[in-house]
Amino acid sequence: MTVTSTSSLPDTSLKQGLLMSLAPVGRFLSELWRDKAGFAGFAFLVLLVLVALFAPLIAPHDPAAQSVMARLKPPIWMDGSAPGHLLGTDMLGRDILSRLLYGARSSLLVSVSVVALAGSFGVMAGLIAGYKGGLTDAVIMRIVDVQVAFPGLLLTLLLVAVIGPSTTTIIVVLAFSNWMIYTRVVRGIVMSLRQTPFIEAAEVIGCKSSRIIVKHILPNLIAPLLTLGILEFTNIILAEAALSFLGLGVQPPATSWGLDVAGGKNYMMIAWWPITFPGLAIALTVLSINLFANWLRVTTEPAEREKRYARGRAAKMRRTKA
Amino acid sequence: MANAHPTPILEVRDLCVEFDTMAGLVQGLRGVSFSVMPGETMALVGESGSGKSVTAQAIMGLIGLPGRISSGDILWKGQSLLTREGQKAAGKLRGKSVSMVFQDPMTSLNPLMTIGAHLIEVLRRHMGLSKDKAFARGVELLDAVGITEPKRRMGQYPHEFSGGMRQRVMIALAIACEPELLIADEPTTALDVTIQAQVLDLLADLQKSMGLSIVLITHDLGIVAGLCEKVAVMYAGSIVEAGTAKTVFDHAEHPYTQGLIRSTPRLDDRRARLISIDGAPPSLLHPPKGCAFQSRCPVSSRQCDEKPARQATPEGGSVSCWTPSVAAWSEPSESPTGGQAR
Amino acid sequence: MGTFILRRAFQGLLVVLGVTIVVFIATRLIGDPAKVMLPLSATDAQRAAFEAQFGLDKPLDQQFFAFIGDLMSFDFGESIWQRKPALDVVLGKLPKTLELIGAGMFLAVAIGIPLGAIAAVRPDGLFDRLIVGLSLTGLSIPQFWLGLLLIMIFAVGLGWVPTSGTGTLAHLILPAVTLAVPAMARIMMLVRSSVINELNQQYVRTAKARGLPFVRVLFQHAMRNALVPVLTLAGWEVISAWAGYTVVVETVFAWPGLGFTAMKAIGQSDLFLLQAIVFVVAVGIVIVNILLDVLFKLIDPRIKDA
Repeated sequence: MTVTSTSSLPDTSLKQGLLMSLAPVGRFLSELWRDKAGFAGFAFLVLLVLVALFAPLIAPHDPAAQSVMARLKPPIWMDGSAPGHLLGTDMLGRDILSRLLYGARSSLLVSVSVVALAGSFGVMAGLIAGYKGGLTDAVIMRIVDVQVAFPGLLLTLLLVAVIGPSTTTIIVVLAFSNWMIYTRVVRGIVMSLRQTPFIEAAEVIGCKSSRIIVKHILPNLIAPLLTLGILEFTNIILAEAALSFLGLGVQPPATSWGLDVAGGKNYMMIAWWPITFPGLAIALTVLSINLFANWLRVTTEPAEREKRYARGRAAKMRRTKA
Repeated sequence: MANAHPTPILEVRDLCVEFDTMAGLVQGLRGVSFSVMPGETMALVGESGSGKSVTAQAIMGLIGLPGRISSGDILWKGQSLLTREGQKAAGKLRGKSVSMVFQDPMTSLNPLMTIGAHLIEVLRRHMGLSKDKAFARGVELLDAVGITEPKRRMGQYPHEFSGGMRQRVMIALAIACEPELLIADEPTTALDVTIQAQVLDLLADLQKSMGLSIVLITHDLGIVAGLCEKVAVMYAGSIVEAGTAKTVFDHAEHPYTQGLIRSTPRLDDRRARLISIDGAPPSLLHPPKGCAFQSRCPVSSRQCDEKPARQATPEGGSVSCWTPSVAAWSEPSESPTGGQAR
Repeated sequence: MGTFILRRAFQGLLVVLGVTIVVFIATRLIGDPAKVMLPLSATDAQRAAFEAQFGLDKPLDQQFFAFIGDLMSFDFGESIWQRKPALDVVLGKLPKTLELIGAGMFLAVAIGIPLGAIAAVRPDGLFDRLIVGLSLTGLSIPQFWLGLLLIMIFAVGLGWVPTSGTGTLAHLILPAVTLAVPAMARIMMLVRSSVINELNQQYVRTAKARGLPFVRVLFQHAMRNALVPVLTLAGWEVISAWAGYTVVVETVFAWPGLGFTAMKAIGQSDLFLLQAIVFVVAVGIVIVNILLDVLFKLIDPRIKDA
């Protein structure tokens, strides 16, 4: 219901232009504010990215610095805590808070790389399969089907075991075992789009395939891929944490939340904090992404928005009646 | 036809229904009143969005949140169905004494249940039949609605039936418990033209043999004439004109009714030009204060800024218009240019 | 039905072949078994002897066919760690993993389906919000951490159950719950959205219009249709648990199943044992998939033999 005035004065048009360019950001934030959980999730993610970027500036200690004197000191609010260690220290006397801040780097590095790698490969394969059709499509989709039915984590373990664990290894291995979902989604959308009149028309006019893909198909892929990518993000974060926990992911002296939980595991009878805080960091990160993704999914679909509103009103009416 | 019965089987009084949507409060029904006598067949006519289906849903108690009945009353044989006790009684009536046939037979049956299971379910529920008796009765019902090999058909799933056959099944389900009133919401819209006639014939036969009252909801005036004694025309959530089918068709009072009739192709009158009613119905989000048809009416005047009251017509019907019975749509002149062109 | 199963079995064979190729590439091309399995101090002579013993000195194509031949005769080589045929070790550990998956999936389904359905009755109501919140939390907690927390609270803190190991029902509770939580969360969410969706379908309306009580409409009509996608998910959960997601849970609780053994095999550089586990699991996935397809055909009459 936006009414654009056709007779705007010339001197206000500059201001309007400026406002227009800022408007999407404002709209995004005000729309997000309506869903408090989604907003909280988004805020946490922004914080997390900042923390990961500026970890060396924020961290109170060197995450690898050990101290025999300050082993397993509890968080600052408990008896027997060591000054300067807000969340306490682990079994080697390393500062837990600093390790959390640096651990955010590992999580984000691995998950961003994997989603980018698997996503771009998977999207390409999906575009080719959906657009070329025929034998190409059959071959690609058969590979996808077969690989989806693979014993995923076990194969990952096998690969890591023969290659040798490292951050690079898990990025490659996780990308290898997670590209198929993008291919399936993209192919499905491309197939249905190809039958729509506007693509058929473009083909009849004689548009080049590359142009059709870039101009007509890609824009329609953005919203579903965004949601998919964000949800895959949570899977990769959890997978990285699990592999690092098993000792097959990020290797010391690098830090990772999963690695820290594994380290604290043997001392959990006497100290709860070394495993609690890194685990909480993983859980909160994944929860934030889920909340944000949930909001995104509902918001990008008008029908979903209307349904959400209707459900909200219905719930409110029931409550006032009761 | 003027079988002056003391109490109507169904009476709807000044019914208002609202829907709370993101855009605001949508007034689905804005004071709808009509009554149906036992054995009577009434048509509720109007274009899509005029509130026909909402009326049916309100009667069947299917208005779910965030929609609600905001005022008015629905009476079954003189008893309100909207009071607390009435709602209890209504629960027992629905499906038994009042039943409904829906527009889309393709989605109206549970895809995972056999046709027999559907029939047996209602028969056991409302008629208290045993499983075997319900099965036997189900076979009879399928036979009655013209489905061949009813016994074999009982064990089949909805996807094994064609659209017309499914609508027959829906009718069998609706008449299974010998209802007194059948509400048919666009029962033929989703069907092929040849099948449409068959289904309408079936409804007419059942109406005669069972003494049913029928409320037929449709946007198609063509199917009304043969089947219904009474007609109510709906526009923008209210009834603008009502009366016997004959009076409404022959002496339409409301400009909208006149337009509707004139825009329906008729087989028996090839010369008359079809007219089209320009514009679109008003938004029920912010319905106009005055006559809802004002913006599209060729004979509207200042007066129409106020809502016209419902008034009786000389023929025994009723109409809501300030200038009823004026021929609103001038006869399309036999224009010489048009004539020459042919 | 027969051709249907055959088709699925053929597709399953493709999966097993795919796994074979990937395992072959991983172990023979990317990795070097001699390097992984022999100690660092091994001499060149020891290496050569090792390679000769397992045919690793032959050309790759010969190796590949020998590899497939061995697999077809169920010869997975000898487990270096256990000093017996790898297949025997795997089959010996199998019941424990099946027990864990059975218990975990039972919990996930038995709790997830009813709670999701109840939440769907009043969307956005108080109970629904609670369920959605719980599901999101369950999806977000890393499984290994959840396991450790449960040990810390119920085994160490309260002392109700043993911290790890196997034997009694008490040993099974925590691992089963840990395995169940993410699956339960996903099932709850899907049941909820699926039931909400079904309750808005036309056939539910007509069922209501036929005067059927809400409980019957919910269970006889809506739930039955809603369960079709839910069963797909439940099947997927079983497969993904089977496909290795018990590794984490088994490791945390020292549960002596396939996953725990796989981790041990990695620790002992026992490549043959690891291979055998991967293959047995791959075949298992194929079998479970076929069983699920047959089950779906029985449930949903609309699925054709296609």
